[in-house]
Amino acid sequence: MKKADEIILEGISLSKGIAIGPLFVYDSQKVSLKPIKISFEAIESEISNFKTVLKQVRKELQIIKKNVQEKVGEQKAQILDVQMMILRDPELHSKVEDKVRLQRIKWDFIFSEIMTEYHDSLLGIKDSVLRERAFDVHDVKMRVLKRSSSLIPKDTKFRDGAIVVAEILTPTELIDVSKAKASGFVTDFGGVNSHLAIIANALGFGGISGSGKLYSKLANLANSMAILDGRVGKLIVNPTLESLKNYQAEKIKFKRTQTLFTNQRLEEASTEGGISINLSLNLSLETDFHLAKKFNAQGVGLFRTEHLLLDKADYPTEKTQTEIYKKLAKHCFPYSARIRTFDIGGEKLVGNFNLPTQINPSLGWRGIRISLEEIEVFKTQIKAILRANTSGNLEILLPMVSKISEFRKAKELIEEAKEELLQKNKKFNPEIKVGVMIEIPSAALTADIFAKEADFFSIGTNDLTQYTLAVDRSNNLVSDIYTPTHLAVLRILKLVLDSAKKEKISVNICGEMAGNILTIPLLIGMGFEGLSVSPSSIPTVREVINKTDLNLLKQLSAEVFETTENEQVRKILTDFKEEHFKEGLGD
Amino acid sequence: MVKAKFKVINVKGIHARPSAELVKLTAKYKSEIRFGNGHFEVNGKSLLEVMKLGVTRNGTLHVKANGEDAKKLVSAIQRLVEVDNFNE
Repeated sequence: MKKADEIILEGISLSKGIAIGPLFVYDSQKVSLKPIKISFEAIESEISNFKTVLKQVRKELQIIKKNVQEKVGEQKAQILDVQMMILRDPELHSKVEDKVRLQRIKWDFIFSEIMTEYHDSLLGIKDSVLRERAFDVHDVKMRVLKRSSSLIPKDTKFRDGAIVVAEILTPTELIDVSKAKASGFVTDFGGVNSHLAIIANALGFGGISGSGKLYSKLANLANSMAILDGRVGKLIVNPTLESLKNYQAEKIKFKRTQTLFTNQRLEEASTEGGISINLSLNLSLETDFHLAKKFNAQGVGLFRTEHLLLDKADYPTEKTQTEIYKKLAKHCFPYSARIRTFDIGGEKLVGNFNLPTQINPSLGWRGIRISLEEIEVFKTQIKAILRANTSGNLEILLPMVSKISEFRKAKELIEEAKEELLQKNKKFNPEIKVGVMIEIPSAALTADIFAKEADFFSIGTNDLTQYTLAVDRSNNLVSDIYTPTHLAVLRILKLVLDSAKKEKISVNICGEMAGNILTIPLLIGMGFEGLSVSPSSIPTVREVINKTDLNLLKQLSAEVFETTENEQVRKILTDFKEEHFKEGLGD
Repeated sequence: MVKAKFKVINVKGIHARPSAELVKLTAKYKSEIRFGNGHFEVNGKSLLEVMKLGVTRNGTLHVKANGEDAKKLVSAIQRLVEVDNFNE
């Protein structure tokens, strides 16, 4: 088969970023709504329905505005004011109400028609700045219609890394597309001043605008391979091998400078070699939340919620949990806090819960395995997290996941929880990152699959070690062969790290290895950039990090990976410690 | 009824943010208010309508107010458009 020729198309840069992937072309304009007749008696409830939905969307925007304000500043948040004012617009309200009364049709269809009229009349204005605002109208329309019953949802089922092509893309859609793991976007509308461009930049999501010219050219090139250079507004379809190679290198270079830039803004524990380490805390108790600030940690990498069950006869209510998680979010802000859902069973302590006695609890019914069967308990916890996440810094961490279907099922339940909150009119933040605890070898060895769907990894080295080596560390007869520095464990760690880096998701280590003076240098040398440790380990870790040179650590890691004997690994690490940290840092 | 015409001198004309400023202001008053661009006029308390006017830099904003605080409202609009430049 003859390869298609390379096509180079020019557009306007909306947001810097380089993407390489297949084109996914979709028609975002298509709103499939049916005019549904209602009875005379239903008119008033239909109108109050309309008002309620608009009020809900306004509340949602208020939350988003707060988040945007904190992330990108007051001025950009004002854009959302315009959208909130549209939702309160007296003309809009009276037009919709009048038409519902007169035509006796469900409000969503009428609302959509009226908003489309406004959108089209703004598009007809000659002035380009004003024309941009047609977007905000379209975006408000889509936000509202997403909640209407007669709407057929638009699919985002493209391949990971796809470059999305749409005639019009609203900021809300952009966020959805970016979350669905697209790598870049092309749209025909939207200039450098647009709300879309601002959001894309905030997301670090590369995109170009075709000024009404690109969409029609790309419509029949779906699935073709393409390179998007958001820096100069260029799109290369069917790139030659040479172009691909060039851009793969450019992409890595670009990513590196971006990372460097972001890290400069934070005061972080950093090694002399210029790499920054994210140092966060492992916490179990509500009374310890204040330690995050006290130790100047970058948030909480692991909050073990099963400790909330200690001495309790029943699971805490949604309300109780919401309050606790809110407090956690507040203490960590502006850094994130990862809440691990209940991991009862195994060796872990539980209160007076009626769990069946298991011969081998570590390999038994625990963690996500319980959550996926005790669905209401799990959803209650998720709802509490979503409701507590008003400042947007909470994340969900799922324990004991051994296969991707468990993760997918959990994600489904999270969506259900959101739906239920919505139905009950509860205020919550629908945006949340969901990550996987990598602690079972089967998950670690398929980390490449998880990395495509999870938002982050946390590696629990304690369990990972005992499952990999088949050693129960609480059993004195074998505990001496429990070695986290076993070459098998280290190779697995490397594998997980590589998978995470490939998909650009964050990965941190939250087992004891991350706080051990022998293993910290090795982990950093291997390329780990996130460590989550117990409060008592913080000063040690920080000192180790600040005292060493990244190049030395890389050499150390290389040396370790060259050995074939497990005993040798410990010796290399001990020698390194003796040489560099003589002054009595705790082991 | 109070009528007036104001010249728009801010850089980008009455785009979304200035429209929003106008509507925020008119919402504070009881009087009815109509804005026009010389071709058509709209409800001055509706952002969607005011954006439709499309008054650009150096264009003219026509104002008609009716009600107990109409005078105050029109002079507040004058201040916003001609003196404060839409708080830009």
